[in-house]
Amino acid sequence: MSTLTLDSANNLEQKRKRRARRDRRMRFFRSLPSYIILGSFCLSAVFALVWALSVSLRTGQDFFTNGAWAFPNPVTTNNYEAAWQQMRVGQYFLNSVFYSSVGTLGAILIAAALSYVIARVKFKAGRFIYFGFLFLMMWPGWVSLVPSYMWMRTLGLLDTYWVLFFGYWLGSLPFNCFLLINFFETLPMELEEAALMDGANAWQIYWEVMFPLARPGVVTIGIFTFMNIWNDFFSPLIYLQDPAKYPLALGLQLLSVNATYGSDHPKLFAGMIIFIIPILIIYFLLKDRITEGLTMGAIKG
Amino acid sequence: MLKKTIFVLFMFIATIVLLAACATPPPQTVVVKETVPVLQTVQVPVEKTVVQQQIITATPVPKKLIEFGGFYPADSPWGKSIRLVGAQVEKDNPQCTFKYSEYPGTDGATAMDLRAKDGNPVDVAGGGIGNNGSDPALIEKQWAEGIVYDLSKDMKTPAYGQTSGTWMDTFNGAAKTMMVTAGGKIGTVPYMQTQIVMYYNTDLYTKYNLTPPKTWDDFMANCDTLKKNKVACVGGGGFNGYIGYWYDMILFRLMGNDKQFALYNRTDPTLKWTDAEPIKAAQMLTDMINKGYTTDGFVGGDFTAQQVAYFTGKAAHIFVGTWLMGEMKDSVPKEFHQAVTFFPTITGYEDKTPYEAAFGFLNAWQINNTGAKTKDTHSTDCAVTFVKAMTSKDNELVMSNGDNLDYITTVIGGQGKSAITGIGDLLDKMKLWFPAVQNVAATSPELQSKYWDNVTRLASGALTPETFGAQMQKDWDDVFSRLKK
Amino acid sequence: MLQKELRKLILIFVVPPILAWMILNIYPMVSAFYWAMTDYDGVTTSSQVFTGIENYRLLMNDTRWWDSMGNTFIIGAGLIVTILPISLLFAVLITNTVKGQGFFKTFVYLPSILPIVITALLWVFILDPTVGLLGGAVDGLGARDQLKELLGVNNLNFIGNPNLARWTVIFVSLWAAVGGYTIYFMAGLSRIPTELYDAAKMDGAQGWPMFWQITFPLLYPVVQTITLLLIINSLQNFAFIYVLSGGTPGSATQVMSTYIYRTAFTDHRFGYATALGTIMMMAVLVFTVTTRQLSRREVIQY
Repeated sequence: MSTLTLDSANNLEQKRKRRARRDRRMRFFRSLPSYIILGSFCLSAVFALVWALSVSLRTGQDFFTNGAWAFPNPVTTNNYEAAWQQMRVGQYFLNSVFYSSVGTLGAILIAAALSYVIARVKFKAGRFIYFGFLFLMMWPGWVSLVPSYMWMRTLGLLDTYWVLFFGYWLGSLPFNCFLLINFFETLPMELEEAALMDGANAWQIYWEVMFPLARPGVVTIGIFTFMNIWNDFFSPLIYLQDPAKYPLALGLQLLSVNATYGSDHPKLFAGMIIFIIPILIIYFLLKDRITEGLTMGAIKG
Repeated sequence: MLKKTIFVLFMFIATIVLLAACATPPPQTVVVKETVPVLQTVQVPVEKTVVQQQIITATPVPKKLIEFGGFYPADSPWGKSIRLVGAQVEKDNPQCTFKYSEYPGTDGATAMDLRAKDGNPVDVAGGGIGNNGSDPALIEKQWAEGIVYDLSKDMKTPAYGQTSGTWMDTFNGAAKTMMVTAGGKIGTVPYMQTQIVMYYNTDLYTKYNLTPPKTWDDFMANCDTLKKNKVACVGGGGFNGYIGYWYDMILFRLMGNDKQFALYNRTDPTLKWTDAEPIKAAQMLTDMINKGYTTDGFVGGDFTAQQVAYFTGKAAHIFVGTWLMGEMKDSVPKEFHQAVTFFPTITGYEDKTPYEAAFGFLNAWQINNTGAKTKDTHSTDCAVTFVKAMTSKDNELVMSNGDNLDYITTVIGGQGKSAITGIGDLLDKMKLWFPAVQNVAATSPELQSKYWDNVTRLASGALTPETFGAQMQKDWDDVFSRLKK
Repeated sequence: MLQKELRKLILIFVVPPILAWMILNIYPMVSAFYWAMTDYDGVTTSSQVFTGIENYRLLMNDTRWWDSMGNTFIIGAGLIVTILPISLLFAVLITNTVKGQGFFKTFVYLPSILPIVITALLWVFILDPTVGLLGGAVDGLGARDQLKELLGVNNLNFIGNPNLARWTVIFVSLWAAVGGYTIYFMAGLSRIPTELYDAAKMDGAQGWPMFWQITFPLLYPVVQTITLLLIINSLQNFAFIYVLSGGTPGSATQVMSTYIYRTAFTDHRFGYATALGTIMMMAVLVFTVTTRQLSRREVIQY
């Protein structure tokens, strides 16, 4: 028979507490390296952005005289006005908004429609298209860079809004459809059967029943598409020639090599901050959705 | 299954390749829209009373149009100043009327060319940065097609508002040199030039007791003093063209203008990049860099940051264009003083080039002959008058004053206030002027890009002076062999 | 029934986008092989002469092309070798961190959402040896010469130095890309059931051996996919290098994509550039397929 006296019970309790404390300390020290490693990386990210912000609030004179590390003295918001007006950043901003919104809208409508049909409707070409998307995501696109430019020129699409829109709507299809097809496949068939029995036709089944259900997936790809278009630098570089049509990404790159404003770092940085503010806002508000989307993409891949 | 797919794909691709080979559409050129005319004058019939109480109306004088094809928007500072001159010309010459049409960019030049071929040319074209210097091929063709108006006779007439002297003599040496083409014809009128000059920080010069260098050895001695005091001698660079400017100028001093032009444009194939002078120039450039006289970012750094280095006193010299001050006007520290000078000559080669020599870019107007569709409504006389007014000393003074801090005139005495102290005098003294990079980009843009690529590799140490010469020769052989076809 | 009804959607939902896609993309993809055999300069119709394999002969002797190919693979390899372990490490660290996991996730991924143009410009100005943060710091501390000695260089211009430029590109690309791949790995890690870990702990396993025996093998498919993605992205890397070097990459950072762009749009040699594009495509495909074959392993079911 084992006897558990009050004393030994207390002792055991104390030992457990001590071990718990030691475990916690050990856990803390064991995770210290990870805090340091991860922390310094995160710090570098934050620091870079904060520095950019601080430079954008300085005058050119101050920046030239006091160097890169000094605090803004005096603090000024003139650079933002100058960037918006003289450097045409305002115009580029509006262009970016235009391209991103129309591009995203079109892309998600087309992608959702296409994905639904491929996921639900059994037709031979469906599998072909699905594998086609998989294949396309890995195809090195450079071989068709120059011919694509010439083809767009022949079609008269060069330096128009259409060339960008077609590019965005169709170019984002592989990734978007990939996600949405998997998403639709997880939805139960009964809903559609039920709708059919209620007398709905194909369009109504899709638009009123299935599409609303796909909202989470659609929102996710919408966010991704919007951010990708906002950040896109390459398509405008190749296909646009009229400076009035440039989006922010291209506009800023040109400003940085434009001797007039490139040398005025505070103004250039103001332009850069204007460029990334929308992205940062979207990111911080919707980051969970974004990481979710990436996660989904990774798992299915 | 897999095999079948591959086979199908292959047939598909093969079919399309065959189809593509048969049907390759030609490229479409871009057409630029015209803008609404900006200035119009209204016809007013004149009434005259005569003794017999008869009212006679004078027939309106048929006004001839000067149509100006402008690179800049009509309401930009450029556009506005040009339209002002147009209005003045209309006032002084009632038979002429003026219209500003926008033709921006390289597409603008193409569009104007198409109009000219169609018999409906603009009368005066130009205004872009180096627009004429950068496409001599186009101008050659336009001469051949009879589009360009020959100004050689008009140049002998007096300038605007003058009664004696010739228009030609109002221009400075650089403009005069570049105006005249083969056969003595004059097709373009330079109104503005951008010059690559040697800027130096006069405060640093005073502090370290230096004098502006006349020879390369003087310059190196100055650099040595500066280096001992932990100041970089040379800022700028960054952009590979700017490093190229150093090489151009050093080689110019060593070879002389004609030989350099012949080497760059292969008008004399016996000159090679492996000759003594190109290699020596490469050697001198790398010496300057290896001795630590340049800022760290001179090779491959961001060129805007390197310019900032000059203005923050971290470097004492910068060899770059007159556009510099226009760009930097808001940021230059208040207590910054500088001056400009010509590039030093090289001991032993003084006779090759005059000290007062430099290179740069010229912006010029071009007058077109009237075409089939415009010969009754437009007038080259009016156009010539207008261009004379544009390049009159008074107008040049207006253009180069005020906000246009980088406007450098081509007209003697026409330099207004400039942020570059002493630039006007420098230009008036100039004896020899050559186009930047000896205009090699006109022969082939590929030449310029390969040349600048090699200069950067030389400057970064990836090539030695000897391998640089060999590589340049190889590239030149390669490009020219393809050009001949 | 349902299928028949839904089939009607094919005509409106599937055919237009696929058709549009084919019209806009198939023709260029395929005509590339034709254009690669001409001497087209992009502007003048007269240069559209068929020259056969002349372009391919030229590129054999084009040292710049082979250098750029070498650079592409060097930089690509450098990226793969650094991004994979580091993002895996970050993923493991973040997954095992209880406190502040959300915080780390947010800020590690932050550099990845920034536009490439911004990241490149920011780092150019940070690393500038004369007026950037680097230059300012070094001058402020008076340590310029010491640092030069320490690194064995004669100037601190990392981007312009032929030996250090590639490292700089890899470093900055790494900084920008790590976040995304970390999230991918975290997704993969989260799919491994914790029961396995508990079982292993019961058997006395912990720390590194546990990682190698359990985590890594189970994570292998994810690693494969990510390597594939990484290869494709890093070999075709254009925007970054283009902006980092202000549009004119030096010889050490000239990669295939920037060289093709330059040949086409600066040197006006469309035919030749297309030929280069075909070679690039083949090189990337070969590399991708080889890597896939080499990394084939049994997929462990669990």
